[in-house]
Amino acid sequence: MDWTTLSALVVDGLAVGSIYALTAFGLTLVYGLLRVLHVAHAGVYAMGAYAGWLAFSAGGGLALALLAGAACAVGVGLFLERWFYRPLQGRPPLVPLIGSIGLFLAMGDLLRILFGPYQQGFPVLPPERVAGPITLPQLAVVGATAFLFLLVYGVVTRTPLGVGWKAIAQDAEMAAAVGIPLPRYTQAAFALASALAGAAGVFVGVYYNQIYPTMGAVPAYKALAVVVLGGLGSSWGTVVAGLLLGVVEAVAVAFLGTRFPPEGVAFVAMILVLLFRPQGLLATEPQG
Amino acid sequence: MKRALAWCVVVVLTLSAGWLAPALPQAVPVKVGVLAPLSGFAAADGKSVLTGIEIATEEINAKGGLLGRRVELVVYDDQADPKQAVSFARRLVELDKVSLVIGGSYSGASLATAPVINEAGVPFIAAYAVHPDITRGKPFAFRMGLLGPVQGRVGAQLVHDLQLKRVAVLTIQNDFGRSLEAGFRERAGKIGLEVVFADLYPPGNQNFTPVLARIPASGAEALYASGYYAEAANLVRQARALGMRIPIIGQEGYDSPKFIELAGPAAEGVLITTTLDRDSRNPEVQGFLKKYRTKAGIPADMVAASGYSALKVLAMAVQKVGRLDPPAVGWTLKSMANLDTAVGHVYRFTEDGDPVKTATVQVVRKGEFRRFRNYTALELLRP
Amino acid sequence: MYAVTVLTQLCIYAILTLSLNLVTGLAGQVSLGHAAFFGLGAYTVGVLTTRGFPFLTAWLLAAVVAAGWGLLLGSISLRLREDFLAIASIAFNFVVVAALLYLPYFGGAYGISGIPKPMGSVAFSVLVLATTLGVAWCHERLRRSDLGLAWMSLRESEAAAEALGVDVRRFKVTAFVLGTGLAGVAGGLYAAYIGVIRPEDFGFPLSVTLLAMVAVGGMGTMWGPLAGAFLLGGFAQAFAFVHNYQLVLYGLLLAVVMRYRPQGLLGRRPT
Repeated sequence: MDWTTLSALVVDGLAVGSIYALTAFGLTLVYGLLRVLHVAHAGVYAMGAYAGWLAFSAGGGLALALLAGAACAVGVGLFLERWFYRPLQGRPPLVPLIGSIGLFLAMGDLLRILFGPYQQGFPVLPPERVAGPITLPQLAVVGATAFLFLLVYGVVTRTPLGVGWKAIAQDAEMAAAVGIPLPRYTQAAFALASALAGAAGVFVGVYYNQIYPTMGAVPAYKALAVVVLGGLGSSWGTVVAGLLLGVVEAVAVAFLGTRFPPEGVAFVAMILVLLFRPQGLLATEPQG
Repeated sequence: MKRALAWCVVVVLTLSAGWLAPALPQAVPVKVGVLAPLSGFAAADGKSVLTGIEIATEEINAKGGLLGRRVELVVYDDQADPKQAVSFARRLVELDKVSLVIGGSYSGASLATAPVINEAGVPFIAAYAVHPDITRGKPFAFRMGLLGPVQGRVGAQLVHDLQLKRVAVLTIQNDFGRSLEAGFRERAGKIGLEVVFADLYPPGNQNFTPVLARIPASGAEALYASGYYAEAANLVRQARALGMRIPIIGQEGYDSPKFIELAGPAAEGVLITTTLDRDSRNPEVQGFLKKYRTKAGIPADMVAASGYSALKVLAMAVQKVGRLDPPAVGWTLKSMANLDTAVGHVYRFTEDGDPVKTATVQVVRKGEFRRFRNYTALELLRP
Repeated sequence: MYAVTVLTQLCIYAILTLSLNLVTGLAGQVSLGHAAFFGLGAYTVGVLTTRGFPFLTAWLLAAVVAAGWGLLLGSISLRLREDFLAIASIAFNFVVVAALLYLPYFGGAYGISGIPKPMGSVAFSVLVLATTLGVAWCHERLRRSDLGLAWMSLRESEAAAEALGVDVRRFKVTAFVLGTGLAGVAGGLYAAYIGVIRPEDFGFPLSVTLLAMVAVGGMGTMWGPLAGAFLLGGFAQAFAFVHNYQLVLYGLLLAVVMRYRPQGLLGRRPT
């Protein structure tokens, strides 16, 4: 395989990985705070995609679509936090998990009822090559993701949010005892997580030129794998894991063929990590 | 008090009149059961097939109905899930007591329901599902769609007729894809094509770049790729983005206006083997295309046309027999020859209930499916 | 006959929910991959009976095969905390389905069809009903036994249970073996009932459904999982008239029940 093809694959992997990273980051953040797997996050992602698509259909460009997608996602995410997750705090994690899955199913089907079961095209960017083998959508996705994570980094390090989240993740009671307002911080986390998920949904629509009601299903599984690989609770580990998974999948599939489903790569990796390094690939302290 | 009572009586009588009126002597409608995936992952096809069936129903009723009686559809959403489908199949034959059943679902669900409906002695026709066992050994089960292996053979013949020898084969990992691949390889071997690259991919896959990247090195002159329109759109788009210029040949899974919409300019020149010929001079085809466009707002696809034809053909057989006698309907269907349907010219039905029919190759030209060529040789098309 | 068909289906769901309850409701081990064991049992019967083996032998082997793999997952669970276990079980489910799909021996994408029914329809339905009652009986015996108590102490607090001398490891694994073995039993019945099985029938969505049935019905009791099985299993049939809205209503049902009655419909309010 020549270098051009290989580099095309790596860029493709980075683009796909960026989308994984965006989706999984929020999932890890929420898990750290609530110790709950927010499966409905995938529903938020799908709704963001549709909101972005609506903005695009109304004549907007990529930026407007992203804004609309993120805004809608934030709205839905905050609602879920307030109506569903907050009242269930303290319950065994299975309870919000099942409910979250139910919400995810309902959201997907609601999208079908509203917009029909067919895929909708999202031709914001034509798949033309702009620099060597790199196409415009790839550039947009990778570039925008990098920018978004820079923003997030800024938020996390320059505002009290980052420290607060870490504190709550380590010991929620102590954090509350020292005066950190849990509800406000949790809301902020949901808002950020959802915004990133909404953006990710728009990116997927742009990258594959397709959005459809059940589009949340794949990221739901993949995001779980990424979260585990990155270390349940380590948000930045998740970002690296997401990018890594994207690239590894692309290259592995190219060399080994799609004899087994690409999910297979993710899940086998996940099982191995769970067995031998449950704190995740990058985490430093083992989590019990 | 008496006045209130009087008013109550008046109201009740008025309401009952509303209830009674339809119960006045009127011919009992012919109930036709429909099983289709209306929600879940296969909802798009379910919607298409149901719309096609509805158009056929409207046509039949407009011409005086079936055996002089109105056709009434009893529709259940099986979500393409065999477990649900079986229960609904029983419900159709036992509670709803339908006279005919149109199977508008995928192979998985159809495989589970066909035995149930066949056992109940109700004629069943699968609109587009490809698994051979659906009809095998069941005197009351029929099929409207082209069998996978037959379509695969047509694909190989097409590659040969394009004067190309080396072909890459990319197969969707389910019974649809596998049966296409089997037929393709069988014919390819007979006419001297060389399969230089072959791989599988899971249904729902969106990223084809990694696997497509390996094709140029194999020296393939054409790509025979199976899939449904969503996968196909991604595949074609990414192939062109990678710089691949070789002809891409798809099948009826691509046959949907959605494929063209989602693939964008990359769809131009893609060839597909299917059974809905947009350039057919058959007024029935053109009529159907127009009606579907009006009713659904988007152009028709093969799945819808299959649903439409399935009901029409079955109704034709019933009309010929003159009464709803399942065994008679069965023999009659198998004795009918040379039917011009919206999904091809049916020479006849086999003993198993599968159609021996023509296939068409359509090409995407200026954003629309147009006829490229048709295949009518019996030698190629016999299941 | 329609009623019998539906009842048979619901009974199979009931066996599944009761078996899952042993693992998740009683022993507190969250398993989101239970459908895999159902599938292993179904495929055992499917593969063997289509090759001429008698149903009873195949059925017994189905339980053994499923329990064997359950032993594996149980052993893995020993190294994992709750959330990790849930994810591992999901991964297990996917891997099993992929294996069934890609290994040629199991029919691949075509699945296995033509699975013979071992006896007449009525007799078979009686068998299913009898099995369900048998499983329910076993379930109750287990729940009230020392084993059951040990499980429940495990569920409430693993650390405390260990401190009190409960052999956490042994009981965890036992729960898995018994629960998955019974899932295999259900699988064997299902294969004969429906006649055709494919890998995607036993995927993650079914695992979710089963867990939802247990959670919505009420974990830990016997009537809870039964109620869940009958309510959610019969949902599609009962709500056939809203055929376009089944899924969204189903999802909302899950969400609303968990939100407003987290112990499940028939569950006991936590003390």
